[in-house]
Amino acid sequence: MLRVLLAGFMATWFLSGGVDTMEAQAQAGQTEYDARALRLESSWGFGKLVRGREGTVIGKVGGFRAPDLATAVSPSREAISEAKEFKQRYDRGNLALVGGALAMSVGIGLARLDGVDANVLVPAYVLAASGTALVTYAAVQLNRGYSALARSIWWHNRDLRK
Amino acid sequence: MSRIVIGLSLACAFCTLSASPSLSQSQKGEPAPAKSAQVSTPSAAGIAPSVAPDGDAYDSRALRIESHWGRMTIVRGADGPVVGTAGVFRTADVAQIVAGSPRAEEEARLFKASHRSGAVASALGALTFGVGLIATTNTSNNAATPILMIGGLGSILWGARRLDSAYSSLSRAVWWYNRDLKSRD
Repeated sequence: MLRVLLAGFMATWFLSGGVDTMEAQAQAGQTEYDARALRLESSWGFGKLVRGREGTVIGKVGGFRAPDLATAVSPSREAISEAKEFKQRYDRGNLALVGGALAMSVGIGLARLDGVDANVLVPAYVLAASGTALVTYAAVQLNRGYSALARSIWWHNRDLRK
Repeated sequence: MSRIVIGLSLACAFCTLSASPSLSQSQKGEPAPAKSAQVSTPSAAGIAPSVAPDGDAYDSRALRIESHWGRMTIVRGADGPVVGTAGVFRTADVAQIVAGSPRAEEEARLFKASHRSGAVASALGALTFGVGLIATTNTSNNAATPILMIGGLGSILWGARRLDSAYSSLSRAVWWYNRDLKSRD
């Protein structure tokens, strides 16, 4: 009976180890990039953050929203750092875009009013010019933000195993 | 001896039954990230260094697409040079950049085809729409002006869709190129 138990235990141990090793090789060794590597695809002007060979959409970028990139690219340190930069610039850029567009619209709207005197006209032009400057600043921030997003994905994929 | 054989058989049957759910799950492709997430959790806490064992070739040759004032730039390596740009009308030969990876080259060809048709359709659509708009504002209205405007708008939308598809193909081309770069190391 003891021999039966011993043989059973050894066979269980051997087979369990064998299955684990095969799984580990299949999942971690060769397919981690296939399963987890990210890319940014385009969809009607918006970005789609896509994971793996199958192309699972894990978030959308654009229209004042963005996925939690830092979590998506975890645990790569450089990727997380770039993801934080993306978030910072993206939020700042969107805020500046809204403020700038609003200032520009109000400024242009006031300047085009009939019979408006110089006391209103000058601040209206200043508002419109400030709005334009703010929109330009927003464009710079968003542009740099998207570059940080690209670098974040690059670092994340780089730190995955083969 | 027969008892040993029976014992081994029982153990085999037990192991096969207990292992089969995880194998069937792994075929669906879902547990792979879960397993990887388990593996990578310690690193999230800052225990494991974020240095890939095969980082050298990837660091120097892997591509990424960055945005530069509405134009896509294809950058090679960690701090590497810009190896190509992809604007609306002018774009680099992506197939040449990703040469060596069959799937990437295939996506690059798709990018080229979609990009060209998308750019031409968008440009023609904008031109047609513009002509229709000018005709309307010049009060020379006739039956052709709404047709020009609607046709132009349709062409712009179709072109935009093609450009969209092109940029997704470009992204996939880079993804496959980097993937094959990693697997070759």
